[in-house]
Amino acid sequence: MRRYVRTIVAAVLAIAAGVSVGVRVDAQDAAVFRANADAVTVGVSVQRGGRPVPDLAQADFELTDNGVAQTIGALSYEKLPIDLTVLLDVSTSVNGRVLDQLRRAVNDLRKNLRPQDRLRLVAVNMRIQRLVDFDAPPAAIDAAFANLTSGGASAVLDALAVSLASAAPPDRRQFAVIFTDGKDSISINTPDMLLDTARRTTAAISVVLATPLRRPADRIYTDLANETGGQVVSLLPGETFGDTLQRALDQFRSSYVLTYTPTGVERTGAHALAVHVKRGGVDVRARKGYEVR
Amino acid sequence: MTAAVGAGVAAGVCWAAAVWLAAAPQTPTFRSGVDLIPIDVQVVDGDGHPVDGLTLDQFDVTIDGKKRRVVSVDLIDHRTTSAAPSAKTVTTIAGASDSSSIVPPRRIVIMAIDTYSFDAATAVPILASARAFIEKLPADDEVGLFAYPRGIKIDPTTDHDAIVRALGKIVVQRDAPPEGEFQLTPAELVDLSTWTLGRPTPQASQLMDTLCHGDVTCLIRLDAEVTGGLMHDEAMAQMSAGTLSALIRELGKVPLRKTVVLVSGGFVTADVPGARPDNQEAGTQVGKTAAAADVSVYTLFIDPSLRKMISAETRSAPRGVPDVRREGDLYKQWLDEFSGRAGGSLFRVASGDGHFAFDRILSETSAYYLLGVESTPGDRDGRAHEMRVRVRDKRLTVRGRSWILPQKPGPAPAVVEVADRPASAPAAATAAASAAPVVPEIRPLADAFDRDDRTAIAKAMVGSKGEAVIRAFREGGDPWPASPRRRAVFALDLAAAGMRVESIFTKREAARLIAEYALQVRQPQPNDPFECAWLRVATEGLEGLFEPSTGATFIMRAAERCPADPRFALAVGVIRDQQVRLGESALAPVREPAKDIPDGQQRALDALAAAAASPGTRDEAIARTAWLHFRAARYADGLKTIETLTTPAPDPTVRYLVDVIRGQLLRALDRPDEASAAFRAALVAWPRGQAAQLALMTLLVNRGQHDEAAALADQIETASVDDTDPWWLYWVGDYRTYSTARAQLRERMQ
Repeated sequence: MRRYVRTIVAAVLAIAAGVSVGVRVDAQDAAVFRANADAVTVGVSVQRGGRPVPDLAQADFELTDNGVAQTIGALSYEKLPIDLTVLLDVSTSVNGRVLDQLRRAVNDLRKNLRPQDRLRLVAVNMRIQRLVDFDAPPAAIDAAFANLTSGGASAVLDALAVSLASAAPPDRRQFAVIFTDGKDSISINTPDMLLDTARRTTAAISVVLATPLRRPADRIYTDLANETGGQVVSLLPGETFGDTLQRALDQFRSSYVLTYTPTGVERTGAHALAVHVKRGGVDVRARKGYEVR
Repeated sequence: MTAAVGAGVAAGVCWAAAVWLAAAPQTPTFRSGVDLIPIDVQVVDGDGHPVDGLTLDQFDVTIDGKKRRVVSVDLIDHRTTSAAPSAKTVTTIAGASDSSSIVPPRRIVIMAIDTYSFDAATAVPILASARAFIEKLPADDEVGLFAYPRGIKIDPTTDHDAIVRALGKIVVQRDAPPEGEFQLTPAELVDLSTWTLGRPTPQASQLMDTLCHGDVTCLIRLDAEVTGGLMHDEAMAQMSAGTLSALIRELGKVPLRKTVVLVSGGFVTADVPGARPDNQEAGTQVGKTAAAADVSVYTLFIDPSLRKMISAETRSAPRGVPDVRREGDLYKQWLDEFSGRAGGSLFRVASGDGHFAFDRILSETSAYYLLGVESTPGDRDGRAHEMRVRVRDKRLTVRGRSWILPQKPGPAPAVVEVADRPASAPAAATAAASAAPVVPEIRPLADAFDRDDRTAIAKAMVGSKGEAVIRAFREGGDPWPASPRRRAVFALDLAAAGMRVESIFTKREAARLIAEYALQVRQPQPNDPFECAWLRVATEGLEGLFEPSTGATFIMRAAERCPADPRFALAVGVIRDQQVRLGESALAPVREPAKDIPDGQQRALDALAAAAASPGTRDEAIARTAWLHFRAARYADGLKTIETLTTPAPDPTVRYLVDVIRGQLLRALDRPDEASAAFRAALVAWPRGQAAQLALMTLLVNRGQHDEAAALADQIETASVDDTDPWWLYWVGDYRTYSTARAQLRERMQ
């Protein structure tokens, strides 16, 4: 018998750009799982006029799983600690000036993290290289940038897949932001493989595109953001990566986390989710589903 | 007589001056109390016959726009039956302290054949006419032969029969890029060049629509064909201009009457402002050099437009009748830039043997006037001065140079010592090349090259300096005059560095340089060891750029030159697949296979199939074929293809690629267990290969095996910087062996 209890954590995160849900199958025990001990957590963003709506209660939400209404067991707001992964595309297109901007942006972001939050930094070209791990001292960021050079091909999709597949403690919310020009040239994982991975993991992904140009191939980033509860933003003239990064984190942080235990539905397979708020004039964004094997 | 067959261009162009200077023949000498500048002009009637009997008052000479006094007029007439030309003083100005007279010089005529610019069939009658032309020249004319870039070179000689015999042996073959998918006419190439430069004209936009109907992958292939054509035409023109200029400069050292009769098919030069091929400047430089050297250039332009038009009518995608006149003018424009600037003319030969042109040249050059023009103190300042000569009778044509460079007062130019030989005897074509001084920009780079310091060369290309450095190298002397191979390898290093910088101007100049030297290293027969080693390094470098628009045409041409090396055939497959990949990266992912295989994919598949025919490249070609099928969602086809590999590839790199691709195909066909086994096999072939780990990682997530997937994710992110992955170089083909190939080339260069 396996020694772990399997819980399913679905994080439905609603951020300005769209609905998102993260689903995670965690520490597991098949017996307990079969005894209907699975818990699903869903992150939900509720906004009015572009601002978070912070005063909602459990009774304000309605949630269905495969069309079956579910009872929300718990509701939290801005409480769970966050594991933030910042991925920097350092392929040929990134020059020294941009690297310096990125270094400042990451340092600023770190200062704004709550004590319980953690930050990890990953550089991406054809190699996916962790520069700074969670719990590393602040000086590690400057040291990492000092040794960082740009060049080479770009494995953006693969890097995102690594972030999704990385270990995710069940008591922490996972959020990854990548800064990239979006041009993937070398990934072995296809967009469909990446989306499949996203449906089976919990991290939310936001993508900051260095250029406003959007090609049909960039559709994967929108799909991924929708799937995971992140967003896609293009860096506009006059905006800094730091501003954009901070805004994305603020929006992720100011989400509700609903917890429920699925009832009346098959445990395995695809689960379609729908979240509704019983107040008018609000914009509710949540992931559309998750999948359990 | 010595015929130098196949001599390097750099060495070959310098032979003439040395022997002529040593021969110290007669020079036009004024004996006058007035400082005179000698200016020779031909005055012909409408039929090209020299006009005699002109007197002082009928000439009007200006230098830098200011009228000058003509002190003497001498007619040098070769239309005599005697061996020596006659020279008669027609008139002298009153008041000259002594009577002016001239010692009439012999003539030197160089027959220059641009052997890469027109086709063999056209050449046969033309060269027959050239032989007849030589036979009609006066017996005391010194005649030389200069077939370039490659061909017979004979020092000037009065042994005209030797020249005639050599002309019969000259091999001419038009050099053109490989037949392209779109079979572009020169005019279309020029129009479409505006698109590749980012400023498409309405004609270019219309053509793009006609040829590609908005299909992105088609436009990528069109871009490659246009870029390849432009590179080729610019390289040909650069090389031709460089060779001609060097020849003319050397001729300029000879104080005789010099005429170059150039036979050329020309090169396409844009007639639209800002378009390419940008060969005008190269032509202008030849013209200025010719004018300064006092060399008359008569050009027989072998117009290829008629043949091109026939070809255009038979092409698979008819798109209107070509404008034959414009097509011909595009080829001619480059020649127009210099023909006639130094007293010659250009004749268009659309068909036939061109005898009319040779007859005309014979006639026009049979007599000329030598004018003694009074100089001013500023004339001999070492700079070229614009000059114009006119005659009163407007029905007559004056052929004269448009620039003069009067000698500075001082000692005579140095004479290259050559072994004793009679002035009129055949010369030994062994005169040492007089190396031009190396410009300061190039010397340190040449030193860096000698100590194999590529970093220093790369640094020299940074920013906007690269373009100037390459130009300086082209124009600024040869660091290794005795070693053209070394120079060619240096050019390759320079071009390789230049093509990797951001500046589009440096990139373009570097691409021209590499195309130009591909012609320089060419040998008469294919599969030459040095040429193929050079092309191999160039090809691998171009594969590494992942810019198929720059590399496609070049690599296809390299494969034609070196058919014995199957890596070139594979490189064609790689560059074709790069084109497909570029299209994919701009489009949404393919989830369903297309009903028919798109053109671009089929071309890549065909090229890879050709590479799969050779045992040495079979495994890799098949793996690449399978991966192309995978990307097009033809998973079953891909698996069927890769399963033809029944024994593991000996090269671990290829073995790893095969297993990764096999795994991806199995996964797409919903055979996860076999896919997992394939990925694990790949990790045996190449431990810690990132792509295999990544593919396995996401497969594990999808199967619910999160812990192992997380462990792999951790392993990937914390891999040693020494860990490499063949997948990273998948798209750049043989660039993975660039350093090795370059090292081997340097050994051959010795």
